[in-house]
Amino acid sequence: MTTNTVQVPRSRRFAVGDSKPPTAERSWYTYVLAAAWILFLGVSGLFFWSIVSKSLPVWQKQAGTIITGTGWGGPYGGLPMIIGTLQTSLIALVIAVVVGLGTAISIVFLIPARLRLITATIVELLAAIPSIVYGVWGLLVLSPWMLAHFYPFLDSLGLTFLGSSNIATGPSILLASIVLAVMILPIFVSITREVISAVPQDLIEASLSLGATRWQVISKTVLPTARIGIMGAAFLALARATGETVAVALTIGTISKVQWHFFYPGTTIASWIATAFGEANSNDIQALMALGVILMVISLGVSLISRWFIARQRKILAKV
Amino acid sequence: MTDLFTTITTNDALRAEIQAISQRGRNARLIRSRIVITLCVIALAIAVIPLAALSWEIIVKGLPVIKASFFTQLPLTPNLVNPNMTGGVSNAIVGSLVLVLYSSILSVPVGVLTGIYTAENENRTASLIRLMAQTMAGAPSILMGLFAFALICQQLGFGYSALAGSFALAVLMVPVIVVATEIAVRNVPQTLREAGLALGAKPHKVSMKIVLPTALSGIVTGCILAISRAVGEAAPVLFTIGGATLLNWKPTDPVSALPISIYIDAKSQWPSLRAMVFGIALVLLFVVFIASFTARFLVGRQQRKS
Repeated sequence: MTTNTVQVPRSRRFAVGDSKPPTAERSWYTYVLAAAWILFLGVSGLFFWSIVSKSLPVWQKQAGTIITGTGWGGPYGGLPMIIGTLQTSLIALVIAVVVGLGTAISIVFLIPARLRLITATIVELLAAIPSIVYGVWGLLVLSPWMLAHFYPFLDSLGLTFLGSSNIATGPSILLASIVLAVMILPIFVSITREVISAVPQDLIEASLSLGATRWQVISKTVLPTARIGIMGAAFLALARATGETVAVALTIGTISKVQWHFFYPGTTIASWIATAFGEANSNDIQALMALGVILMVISLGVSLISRWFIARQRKILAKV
Repeated sequence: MTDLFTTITTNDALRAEIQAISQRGRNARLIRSRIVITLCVIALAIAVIPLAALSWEIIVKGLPVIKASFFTQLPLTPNLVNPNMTGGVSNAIVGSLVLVLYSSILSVPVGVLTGIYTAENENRTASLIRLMAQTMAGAPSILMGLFAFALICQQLGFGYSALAGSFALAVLMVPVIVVATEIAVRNVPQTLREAGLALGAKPHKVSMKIVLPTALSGIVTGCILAISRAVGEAAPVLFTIGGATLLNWKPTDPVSALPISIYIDAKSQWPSLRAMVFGIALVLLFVVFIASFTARFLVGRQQRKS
């Protein structure tokens, strides 16, 4: 051997055919990153396991009652909460989609470019407001106003199936739904806005060149192309609405009763957990954990659907 | 025999009739278009009204409540002799600061490092982490409260404490930070990385000396947004921090938080306490908007740079 050989550090040696290039060498950095993601996955896994395992006795003893029962204490029934969650979030979704679609279309196509940024910013600031602030606004500002004006107005339209404005006390399914609608609107608008501004300009121009009016461009070209993405936005908003806690807890009245008259109080899963946890004994806590599992299933299912829609919209836009 | 085109162009009466028909159709289409466009703009107005109404109510009703004692005094319970004796919310302010501090310590390192890992590795673990982060980011925040209650308060025996609340908030923040970090790190141009590697830098040096500084403002933005969300969340801390009316700060002590003070006072029978709520909400809105504008500013600066 000559004295000219350079000593290659062990970590840098590699032969042709090695599966990993020398850049993939392990350093302390790799271990730090690994520690972080193992901790993250561990805690996430523990999150699901811990809530499920705490509610296990309820699922073993009375799996049917927790879903279909209506009483609380003794056998625990979650039906009022499940129905209430669906009622409030669906009413909120309908309001948010109708208003939000118009808003998103206005922001993207109708208002002057200089107003566009500021309007989009305002709508996104709405998303940053903590839910408790919406709850306070709903309880202390919107509720008295609705009691004085909105319930009597709906009464005068003859919508008696909603209940009577004379018996209504303020907190109600309708109030909670309207507060929820205001809360989920920014989420729906910001995603819908992104989806419809991603519709290719040449499609819009082709449609304009055929003599279409602005509304025809929107209804015949933009909305069909963005359809799936808008569905995704709606489901994402729905997922947020089902899991919302304190704003609903303040405005719905939290009474464990299946409520079909929307002027009167009801409850939702999340708001019931928040309210009932205060004076819960260990059996109550197991039942509340079981409600938590139901909420987890509903809201993760909805957000899974939303993610599937949004991924499909990406594929559609990649094609056109 | 003439074809259709010649007939139309030569026959004036026929041409006028066709033009009239098309004009009528066009008018109908234009009218419909204008109606729907008006409806859309009305929808925009309806969407903006809540923000205006909400900010107005909270500023007008909140400002009179905010004075020096609001920040320095502990809360007091009004009684029939002193119905306006409300004290301040110093316990909630200190509690919120403590919770933000502890939850950031718990969540920022884990979130940022996990985000870097998913950005720089394309394997099954990375996609599992991504899936988990998205799922956790979509999970209702009350579930974080249940989790922290089951694990920290009961299983580990800490009871109602700042630690349990911070843990719940950290579980809420980590997915936000992971996703934001991943996007920020991915946006660093590949050429920068390659230049570093070509100069013989080891991968972790490239990561720390080139990628992280470039991605820093994106990561900071993600952390600010996560913190501002944690400050305003009431659900995860509702039954984990204990709602103490003292100036506690140790991790094992029960503390209070601004959203919890709002939640409790809003349901109070005392008008003076319900008035206080607007002051606390104003403080909360102020913090959240400052955070939001800082994040926007950082994003804007980053975009101008690149």
